[in-house]
Amino acid sequence: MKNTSKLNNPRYLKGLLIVGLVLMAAGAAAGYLLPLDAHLATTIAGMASGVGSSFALIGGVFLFRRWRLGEVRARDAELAMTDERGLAVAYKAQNVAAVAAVFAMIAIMLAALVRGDEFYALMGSVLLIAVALIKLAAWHIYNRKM
Amino acid sequence: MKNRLEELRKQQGIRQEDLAQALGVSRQTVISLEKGKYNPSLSLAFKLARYFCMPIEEIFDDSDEREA
Repeated sequence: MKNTSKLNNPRYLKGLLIVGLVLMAAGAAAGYLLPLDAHLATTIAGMASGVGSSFALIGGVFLFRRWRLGEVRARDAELAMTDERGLAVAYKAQNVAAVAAVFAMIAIMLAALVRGDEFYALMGSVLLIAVALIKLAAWHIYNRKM
Repeated sequence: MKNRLEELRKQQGIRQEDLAQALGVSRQTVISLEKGKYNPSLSLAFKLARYFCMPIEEIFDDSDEREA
């Protein structure tokens, strides 16, 4: 499977960092300059600032990691995440995360039942049934494909 | 599954980094293969066989799995 992640390319990372910083600064400036009663504009500015800070954080962290490891080790570290062993590790980690999410959902549902919160208990049950149905459907599809 | 990767690599004086590059995998994958912690896919096993110019069964030993 070919790695198509743009996070390996320093050019994209720099672009992400710049776009993030610009959005963050513009959002913050707009939030500061806009009148208090401009609710919609303030909300949009807040969103731009939030998205910008996320972009800047992602770009910054990946660029810093690359700089710290050096070009050769950074490439190897990226390959370690995307070669066949990396994909096998990621697949297993994903399975563990999915199991943990199901247990968290069961815990929330039980807590809602104990607290007598019928809506959340019902939502929890519906989500658990949906997860089970999706897993069953996915199993049938992959069983035919592979 | 046991294998002779480390022995073969050292015999030929190849570094783990170079083997990894030739196979298109990370050095961590080569380390895991050598330690027997990770079993390669069929395509990677074939690449290894071609790299060392020998049949797969001379590199990998599945006798413990056959016994089980």
